[in-house]
Amino acid sequence: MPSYADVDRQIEQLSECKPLSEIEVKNLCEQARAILVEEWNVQPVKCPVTVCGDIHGQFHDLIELFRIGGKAPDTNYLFMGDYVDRGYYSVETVSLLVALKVRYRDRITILRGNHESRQITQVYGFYDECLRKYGNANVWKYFTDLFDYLPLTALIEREIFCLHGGLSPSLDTLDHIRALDRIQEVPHEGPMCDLLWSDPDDRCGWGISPRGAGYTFGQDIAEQFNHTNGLNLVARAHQLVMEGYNWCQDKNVVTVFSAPNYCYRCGNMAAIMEIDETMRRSFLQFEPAPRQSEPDVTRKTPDYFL
Amino acid sequence: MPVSGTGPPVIVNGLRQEQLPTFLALHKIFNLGLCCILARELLPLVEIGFVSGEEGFWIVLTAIRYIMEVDHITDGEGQENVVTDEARIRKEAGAEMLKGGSGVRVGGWTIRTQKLTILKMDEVERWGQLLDTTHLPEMLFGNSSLELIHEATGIKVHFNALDALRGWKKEGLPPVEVSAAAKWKFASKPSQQVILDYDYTFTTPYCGSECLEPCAQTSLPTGRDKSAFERNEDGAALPTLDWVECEEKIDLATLQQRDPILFFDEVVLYEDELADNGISLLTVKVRVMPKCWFLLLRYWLRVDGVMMRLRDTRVFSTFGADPSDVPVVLRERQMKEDTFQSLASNGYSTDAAAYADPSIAGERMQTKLLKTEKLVLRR
Repeated sequence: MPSYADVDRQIEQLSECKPLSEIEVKNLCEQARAILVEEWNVQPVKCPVTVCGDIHGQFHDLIELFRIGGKAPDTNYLFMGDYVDRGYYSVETVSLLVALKVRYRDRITILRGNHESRQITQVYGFYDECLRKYGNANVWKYFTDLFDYLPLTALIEREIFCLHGGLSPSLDTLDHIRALDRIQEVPHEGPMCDLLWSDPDDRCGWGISPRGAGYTFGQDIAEQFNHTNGLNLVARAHQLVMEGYNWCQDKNVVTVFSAPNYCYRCGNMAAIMEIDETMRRSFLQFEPAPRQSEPDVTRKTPDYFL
Repeated sequence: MPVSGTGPPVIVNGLRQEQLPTFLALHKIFNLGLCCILARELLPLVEIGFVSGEEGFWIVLTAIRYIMEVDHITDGEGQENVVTDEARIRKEAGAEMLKGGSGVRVGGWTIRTQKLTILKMDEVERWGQLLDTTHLPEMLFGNSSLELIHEATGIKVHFNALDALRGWKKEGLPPVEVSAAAKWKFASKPSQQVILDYDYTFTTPYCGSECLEPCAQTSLPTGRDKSAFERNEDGAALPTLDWVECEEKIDLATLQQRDPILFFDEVVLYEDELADNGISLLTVKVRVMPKCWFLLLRYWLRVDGVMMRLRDTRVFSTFGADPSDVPVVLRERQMKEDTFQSLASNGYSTDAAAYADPSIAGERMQTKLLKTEKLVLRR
């Protein structure tokens, strides 16, 4: 039985929004990798469990999420990716989630989002934040190396399929997903990329985004996928929704988004989806943490712009 | 100034409960970074007991006031002075703040901003029907607006997302392919699927809306396309409002003067992260000084590794001697666009992270259009 004294102390420190030292992050990521490498591309999860969407470095709102949903490990959690970028506390957020994973491996599941990648984090904030907080990119490297091991999807009691983005035209069955070699940077194309990037759309069938990359899937696709795999729901994150969750495609798909007042200015609610012992679903909505110290970016400093 | 010898240092992390509102107000008005830097510098002094925590807190306050040259903080001890100062400047300018602090009345104009949350799901659906689209920016601040109304003439210049998106629909640019597209298409089999072809960048030619009060609320989705005034079939007899190209230029000298800013605000109309391929952002910011107002409506697009587009509309008006005179309102439109490829051939960086600031990016881009117009009221 390993001693959890270190990680318990780290969780306590992180809960106060104080980052770990570089060497602690290195060790933590090594421990987490040993756990994640054993997990499956379609990681089985038992109920009861609370399913969460994007967090995006909004640390104080993650603490609010635990206040609303219950503390880990008293509540089991399944996070569907996008822990970093955009918000001001990506380092503290991802450190805490990884520490919780190391401490309570069977009670918390963390999936990969499209932001858990080397390329995206260099543009959208996590890389810069690591440089700012540690003076070098080592911590960024430890985490992004770890991200390669995160499972891509999860399956709650063989009924609810959870992932960050959406379906892929190359993946008709869960066995196809199980067969993927996931330990790599998120590729620019192909099935693994689709799982982390695709979106549901009103249009039937497979659509290609006007951006020229990325799929959209229609209700017919989601119905077929659920039918083929004996599922009754696809739960995913990836898109901002004002109410924090949004049913679509005749309740074949639900989007869950857990970053309230996204980017500190959208004014949206966040939500989490509770699945109880009888697989009954309920949604808990919540607002930003009342005492967060992020600047209010909607009121800008007066400036003599031209 | 109250000096408290007991209790913990009150700077940033150790802030005492009763000081929290003041500090949060500070965050709202100024950037957090500045407060923290000042506080960090002061912390060692607090720790050795050279200044008390509370003194340190007030030093931060005072320093920020000094640095910003604008006194906006109205709380606690400093309240009296600040209020007097602001009141004096406003009085000299003949200005009156609107209730709730979201606007000002000065020089015959009423200038007001409204900032609300992004649209809810049902509102988004309604807008979709109205604009005949199922795709809208992911952050759509549909109830936010800036409006400037000249009281004597009823001239109203205003800015809202709905009119901007009407412009987007009308312009209907073909989509720009993201950098991953070529590789992606090669690996996929796009011939089997429908390629959606709407302009996901939400590029708009929008440079503001104008009408004569009383006009229809175009900022609300009423289903009507034009202002009440324009819809009037008896149009010939009624006054009209038009933008006419002119020789005059916006007076930069006046704008570069550091006159006190009576009112400043920035309103985001919509924003989209292009599924993490860059940014599309439409904002308008305004500053009102004792002699004039000035605003910048900016559409900013960066498709990482592919192209950037900047469409700026600057509108300016100086207050006349008689506020009942028809005001002179000038509008300068500037469109810039460039590909990352051409930036590279000019020796500039092609790293998307180097183009976070549209003003800096704009300096490196080719100008596609530049013209100045004047608002003409025909009665």
